[in-house]
Amino acid sequence: MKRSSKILLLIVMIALSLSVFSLFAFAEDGAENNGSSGIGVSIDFQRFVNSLQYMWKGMLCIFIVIGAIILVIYALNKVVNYAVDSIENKKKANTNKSVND
Amino acid sequence: MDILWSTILQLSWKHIVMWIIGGVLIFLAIKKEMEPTLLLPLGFGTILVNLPLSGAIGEHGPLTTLFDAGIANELFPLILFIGIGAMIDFGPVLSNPKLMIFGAAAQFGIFFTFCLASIFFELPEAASIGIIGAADGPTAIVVAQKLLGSDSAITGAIMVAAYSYMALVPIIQPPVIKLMTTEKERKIRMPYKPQKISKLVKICFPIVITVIAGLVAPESVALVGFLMFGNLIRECGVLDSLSETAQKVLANLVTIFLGITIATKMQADLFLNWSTLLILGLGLFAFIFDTAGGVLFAKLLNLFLKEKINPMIGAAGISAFPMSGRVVHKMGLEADSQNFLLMQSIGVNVSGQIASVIAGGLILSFMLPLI
Repeated sequence: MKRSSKILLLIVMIALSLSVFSLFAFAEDGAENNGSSGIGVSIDFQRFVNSLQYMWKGMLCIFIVIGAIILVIYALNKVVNYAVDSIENKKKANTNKSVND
Repeated sequence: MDILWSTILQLSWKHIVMWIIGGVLIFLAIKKEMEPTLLLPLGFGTILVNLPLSGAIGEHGPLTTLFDAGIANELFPLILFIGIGAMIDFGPVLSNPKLMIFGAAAQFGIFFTFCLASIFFELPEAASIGIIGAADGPTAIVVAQKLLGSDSAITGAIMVAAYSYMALVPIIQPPVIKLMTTEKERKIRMPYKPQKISKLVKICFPIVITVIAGLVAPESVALVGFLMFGNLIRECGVLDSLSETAQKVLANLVTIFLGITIATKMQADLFLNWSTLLILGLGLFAFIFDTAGGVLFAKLLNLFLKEKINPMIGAAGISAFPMSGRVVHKMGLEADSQNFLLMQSIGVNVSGQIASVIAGGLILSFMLPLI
């Protein structure tokens, strides 16, 4: 197995172990405290289902906002470049006119 | 003689464990040079608050006073954002704006972790844990404080996880990136075509971003606004002394206060419980799925693009600036010694800063009505 895969596997196993270990610890606490742990943690899969709406809404909003920012940057670049070019062309035209005069 | 022994007799194994944790943070800061500006004050503060009957905390303790003055009201992280904004050069983003989309994709870990955490915690708590994935200490502090308040037992774990994992980005990201990409994909070159960006665009950018973000997520105005204010000070060209002060003196001063004050939440009774372990595990998931989200999005785009993108730059979309950008650039060079991805990865990294702050604002907008 490649070294990077080993490191990743180790990281994921540690994270999973911490989570599962904590899960069992909560389960014990929950059994003693009628379904909820003394530290305010309870296992509720309905909450997970409810939270999914925030996931897709949140990601959608972020993509929309970033997309809007990208379009605004393009527009800003175009407008400013156009304005700068116009001013420079006017200056050149004025310079040529004064030279001809 | 009782005075000499009374404090020592109050010492428990929990205090000693926290001393060890503080020591590890200091070791990582000094020996391994991992985010020393954050980990050193945090580590030393951990030792300070875990001495029995410590005078640093308590009703009139200086750390408690600082916490109430700057963290309970989210002031310190917001002021720090002025300094961060003044340090950031948005030039690479402005010259190639489409790279910003990867900053959005890399926030996937926040929401995914929020969903996972909701199995164990109430929604506001789960959201505060998910925001660890923003890879941005100030954003994590602001969101956690607004949603949970100062009295929550998990605020400390969230803050420590956010800052610690930011320091561990060079360790966490490379294996995830390597697992999700092939060597051929890592060798994809992306020629950098610099475009001249006018000063007017650089001045208008922070103002426009603040307005857009504020209209979409009003709760993010403080976060985005302070970040963009710092950037405006930098780009306006007439406030060089203020810009320099914001980048150096202000940022360093607030970082000192922030680091040592967060440690008030590292008291043994608050920190050493099962929820801390779970939060640390979930925080790690957040970072992993942030990285995975960015890389996978880049690979998805490559299905439709003629000129392929190196999918590694998607991983740079997390807000850990500039570490994540440098990690991706380094991995590009490892795959191909002529593959220079720095400008693109830094551009994506910078856009991740904006996206993470917007994500924080969205989380607040979703959760505050539930409280």
